[in-house]
Amino acid sequence: MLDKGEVLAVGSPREVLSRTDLLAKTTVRPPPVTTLAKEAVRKLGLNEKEVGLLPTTLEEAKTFFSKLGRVAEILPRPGAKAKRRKPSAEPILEVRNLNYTYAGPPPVRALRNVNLKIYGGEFIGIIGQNGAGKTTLVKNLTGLYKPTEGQVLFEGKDTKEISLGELARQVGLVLQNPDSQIFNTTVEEEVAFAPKAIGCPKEEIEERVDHALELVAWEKSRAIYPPLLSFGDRRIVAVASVLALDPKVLILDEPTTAQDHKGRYRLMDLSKKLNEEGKTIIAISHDMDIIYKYTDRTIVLGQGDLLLDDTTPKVFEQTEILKKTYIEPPQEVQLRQMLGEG
Amino acid sequence: MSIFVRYIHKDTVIHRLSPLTKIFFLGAIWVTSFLTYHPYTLAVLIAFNIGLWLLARVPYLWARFKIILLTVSVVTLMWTLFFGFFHRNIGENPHYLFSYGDLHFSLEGMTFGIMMTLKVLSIVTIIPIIMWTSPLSKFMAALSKIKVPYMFVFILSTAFRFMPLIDTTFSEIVDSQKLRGHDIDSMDIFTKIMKGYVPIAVPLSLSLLRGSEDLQVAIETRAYGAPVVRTFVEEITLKKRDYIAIIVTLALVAGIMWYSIITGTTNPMGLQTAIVYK
Repeated sequence: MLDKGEVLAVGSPREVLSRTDLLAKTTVRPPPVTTLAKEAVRKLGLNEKEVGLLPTTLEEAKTFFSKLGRVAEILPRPGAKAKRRKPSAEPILEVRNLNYTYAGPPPVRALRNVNLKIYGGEFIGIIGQNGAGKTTLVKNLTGLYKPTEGQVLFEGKDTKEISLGELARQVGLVLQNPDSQIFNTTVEEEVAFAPKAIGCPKEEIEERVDHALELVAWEKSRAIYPPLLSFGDRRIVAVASVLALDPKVLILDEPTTAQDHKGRYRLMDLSKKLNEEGKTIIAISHDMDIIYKYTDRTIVLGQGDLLLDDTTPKVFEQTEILKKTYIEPPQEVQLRQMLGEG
Repeated sequence: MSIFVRYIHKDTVIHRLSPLTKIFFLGAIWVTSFLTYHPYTLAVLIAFNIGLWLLARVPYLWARFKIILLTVSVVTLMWTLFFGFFHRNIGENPHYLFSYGDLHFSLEGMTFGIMMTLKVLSIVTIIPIIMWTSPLSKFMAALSKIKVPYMFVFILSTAFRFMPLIDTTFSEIVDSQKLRGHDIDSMDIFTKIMKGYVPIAVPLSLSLLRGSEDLQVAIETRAYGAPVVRTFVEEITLKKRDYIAIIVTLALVAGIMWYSIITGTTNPMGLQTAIVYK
C-alpha cells in the first residue's frame, strides 16, 4: 500500500486491508465487512491481538462472526438510520407510463412503461446494470429527453410544456463526467455560467455563486483554474455550478465514479446535507454500499423495466429480483443473509 | 456520424468481397463522378452505390440515406441559389427564371447547382460501404497491401475509431450545458456564433486532447514506431468474386464515360448543351 509516495504496508490483501487503523490515515477504505468486524470487536471488548486478522471477504466474515456468536447483537440493525425530513404530501416529480426509445438507427427502446412518484425531500437511489435505463430516466426527469410515450410531470405540470431552461432551475442534473461542462478559466466563472445563462441580474449571479460555493465549502478556492484540479475536485465544481441554479431536485449520475474513498463520501455527505436542508436528492450509482448507507428509497431498473421501488433495506432483501439486473446487495446485507439474520 | 463508420456484422456478398475491391469501387466512383457532368450518369452512379447498400443488406437503409439526404439538401439549397444567381458559365443567351433587382436567377446556374449536388451524393454514398462491410483491421491491412504508409493507415484508422467517441462526447457536452440553461438548439444563428459554441468547443477540445494523450501512452507502451517490417493477421487476397465485381464496375464506368463523351458532358458547358439547350 502506497501513500504520498511512500510504501506504507506490504503483505497479502488480508494482512493489509485488515489494518484498519493504518488505513484510516489514508484515503483507502477497508471492505465493509472489515469495518463491521472491527466494530464488533470493540462492542464485545475483545483484545484485537487475540482476535488476529480481521475478515476482508464475505466467506472470512461468515467464519469470523459465527465464531463470535451473538450476531443479532453486534451487527447493526437493517435500515437503522437517522430520521430524515418527512417527504412532501404531493409528488414533486411524477412519471406516468413512460416509454423512451432512442431514434437510432437502429431504434433502441430504453424505458418501458415506467411509473413513479418522487416526493419533495426524498433521498432516492437508482440502481441497475449498465444499459438498464438509469441515465435515460433521469434525462427524462430533467426534460433533456422528452418521453416517446407517457408523461413526466414536475409539480403537476407536463415537462413537455416547460422549457428546458425553466426546468433546469428546478431539476438539476450533474452528469458523470465533469469535463463535459467545465470550460471557464476560474471556478468562480464556471459556477456563474448557469445563472448567467438563465439571465439573472449581476447582483443575483454573485449571490448565487457565493451561496453555491459556500454549500460545497469552496469559498476560498474561487480563483483556481479548474482543469488543474483533481477529478474529484472537478466534480465538486460541476455540482456547485448546478447548485448555482438552486434546483429543488438534485440528481447525481454516478457521483462515486473514479474517485477514492474520501472523494466518494465527500460528495455523498454533501448530498445528505442538502437533503437535510430540504432538497430532493436522486443518486444513480453502482456502489451498493453508498446506496445502502445514504438513501431512504431505491429504484431498481433492468433492461428498461422498473423492477423494484421500495425502501432501501426492503429492496436489498429481494436478492432474486436484483440478480436479474446483476446486482449484489451490499456486503453488510449479504453477511446478515449468510448468517441467517436477514 | 458514427453510424457511417461502424462495421455491420453480416455475411453478404459485399461483406465477402476483399477490402481491396471496395477500395477499387471507391476510386472508380470518385474518378467517374469527377469526370462526368451529366445528371443521368451521376444518378446511375448513385443508384450503383445504393445497390451496393442493398446487396450488403444494410439495416435501416432509408434512415441512413435520409441523414445524408438531409445534410446534402442544405448544400443543394445553398448551391442552387448561389449558382442560380452567380454562375458565370451560362452561355450567350441565358434562360432567366426570375430576377431580384440586378440579380438574375438562371436555369443554367440552377441546373449546375443540382448537378453538383448529385456529384456530391455519388461521392459520399460510396464511402460508408467500405466501413460497413469491412472490419477496420481488414481495411487497414488492405491499405498497407497497396503500399499506403503505415503512419497514414494508423492515423486514418484512429480517426475512424475516434469518431464514435467524438459523437458521444459532443452529445454529452451539449446535454451538460443545456442542463445549465445554455440551450444552443434554441439560439438564433447570430447568438450561436457569438456565444453558443464556446461552451461546447472548449470542453470538447480539452476532452479530445486528454484522449489523445491516453492514446499516445497506450501506443508507445506497445512499441509503436519500432523499426520492424509490419505483418498483418488479416490476409488480403483477391478471389473470383472480386474479379467479377471489378469487371462489372469497370463496365459501368466505361458505359458512363462513353455516354458522357457522346453527349459532350465531360465538361460543365456540355451539361447546358445536353440539358438546357436540348
